[in-house]
Amino acid sequence: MTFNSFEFLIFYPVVALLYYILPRASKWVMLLIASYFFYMYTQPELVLLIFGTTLVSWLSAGVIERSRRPAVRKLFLALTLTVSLGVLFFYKYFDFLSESVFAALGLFGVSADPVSLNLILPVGISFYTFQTLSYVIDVYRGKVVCEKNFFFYALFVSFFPQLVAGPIERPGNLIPQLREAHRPTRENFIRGGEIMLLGFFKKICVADILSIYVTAVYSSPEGATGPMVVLATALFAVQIYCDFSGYTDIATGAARIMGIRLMKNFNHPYLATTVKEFWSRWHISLSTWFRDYLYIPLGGNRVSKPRYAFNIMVVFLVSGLWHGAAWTFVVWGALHGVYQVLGTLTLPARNRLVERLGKSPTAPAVTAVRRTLTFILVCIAWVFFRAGSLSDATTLLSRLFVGWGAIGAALSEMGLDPVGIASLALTLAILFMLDRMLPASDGAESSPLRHGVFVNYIWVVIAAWALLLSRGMESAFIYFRF
Amino acid sequence: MDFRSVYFYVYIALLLLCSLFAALGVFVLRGGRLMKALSAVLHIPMLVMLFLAGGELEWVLLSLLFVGFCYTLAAYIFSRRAGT
Repeated sequence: MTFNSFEFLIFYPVVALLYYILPRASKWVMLLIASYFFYMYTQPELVLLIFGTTLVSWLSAGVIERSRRPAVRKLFLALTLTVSLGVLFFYKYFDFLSESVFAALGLFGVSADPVSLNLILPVGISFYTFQTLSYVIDVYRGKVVCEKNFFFYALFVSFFPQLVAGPIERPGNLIPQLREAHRPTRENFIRGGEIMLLGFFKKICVADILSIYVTAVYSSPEGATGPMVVLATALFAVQIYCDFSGYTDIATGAARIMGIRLMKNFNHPYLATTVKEFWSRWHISLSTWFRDYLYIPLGGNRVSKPRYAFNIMVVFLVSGLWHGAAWTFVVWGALHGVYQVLGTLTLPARNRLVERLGKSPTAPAVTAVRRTLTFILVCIAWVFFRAGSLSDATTLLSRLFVGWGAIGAALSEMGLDPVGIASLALTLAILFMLDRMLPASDGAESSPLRHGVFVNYIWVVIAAWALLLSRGMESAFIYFRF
Repeated sequence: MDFRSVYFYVYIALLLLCSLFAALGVFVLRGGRLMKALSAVLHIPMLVMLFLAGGELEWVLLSLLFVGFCYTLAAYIFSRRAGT
């Protein structure tokens, strides 16, 4: 079940209502049943996989906590890592590895057909696998206490708002909140509703509409011109932000109405002045996961410069692969790794250059230039993320300097008529203001949107949804694939 | 869309009224709610006029976005002034 479906519009109010009217002891049981129903609605046959991953991680964590022998603790940690990552590898990466190995063998004259399993990718597997791993590793490190009740732990893994596309929650944040019996409050209802509606606006009115123009260019790279590539890539940057942060907003709002606060996943990423800062603002739950469970164990930044560069590259290559089993994602991750290494190593020199020009590194003009450059770098990487293949991405980049004399023709080829351009401009302006007004932090107690502005957006979202349906467009969240 | 029909001009007038009432409703302390309610009610004849002028779904979305933009801009200016 997806958030932007009619089924969810029935499912969610029923669950929220039941959550508040049921007695305290049965609230979490209902949430567990609802979460498994939510998952099974899309892929009933793969429910055993999430159940199995949950069971293995829970059992291992129990043994790890009880055992005093380091060897046993390490053995069970390794067992969980092997099983969880093994399942992830089998479903997500087997075909990719097989094709890559056979392609490499082909370079040496060995020709054979790659073995392909063509398995259906379980929805949200990357998210819940990482969530279970964080639990077991935290128990191993002694940071959290093992959850005694298996079914309660199963709710932590499968809690439906964040099950299929995050935020990747930490046990220390979510489990205590699931234990509480929350009462309905006006504050939670209004704030949660606002955040959910903002999410729907981002997804339906911005991301889905933008995808029409982006797909027009990325589906036929050979016919693209420079203005088309630049505009489509910039629009894709907005599309993927609205798609993913829209999902997160709906998840956060849905949980908030029930009194549960999920962790923050986005914080105005395109306002970052460096790529490093971009990653502290984009998909925060994944960035912090990699920081805590991969980057720091590798040595972090308290090592030599070559080792630091190696650590960063490992993290970003793994992050690229996490997003998808394709070379385009590997290049995307590698590009971000290179950006970050070069950015960190050249930062002192760049600051000196700015000071020689008589400006402070924090001056508004310098900040604006840095934000623009960071956005351009991120967009170059997005080309690889969005392109269907490496050859498509290189074709698009090679077309960058072609056709700058016919910008009007480029717009009409993308399907942007005057009504579309006006709608787009208004949508982006509204998005900018809403994003600035509705604090990224879910902790704010008062909303500047108390003027009832959001009532208007209910109609906007319905109109955009109707428009998309009239065009026969079905849309899934981009991060569902991961 | 028939840009020369009377319906189109009435639609434009109602659209501007809708937006004006929505935006003013944010700033006006007394009667602000009434203005916003009036803006909400005016949506109905505005959309009827739009359909009579031959407007399609794209135009409905554009109209709602325009009212939303004016409304949000007013709230944005208000919140910046209030320092929230």
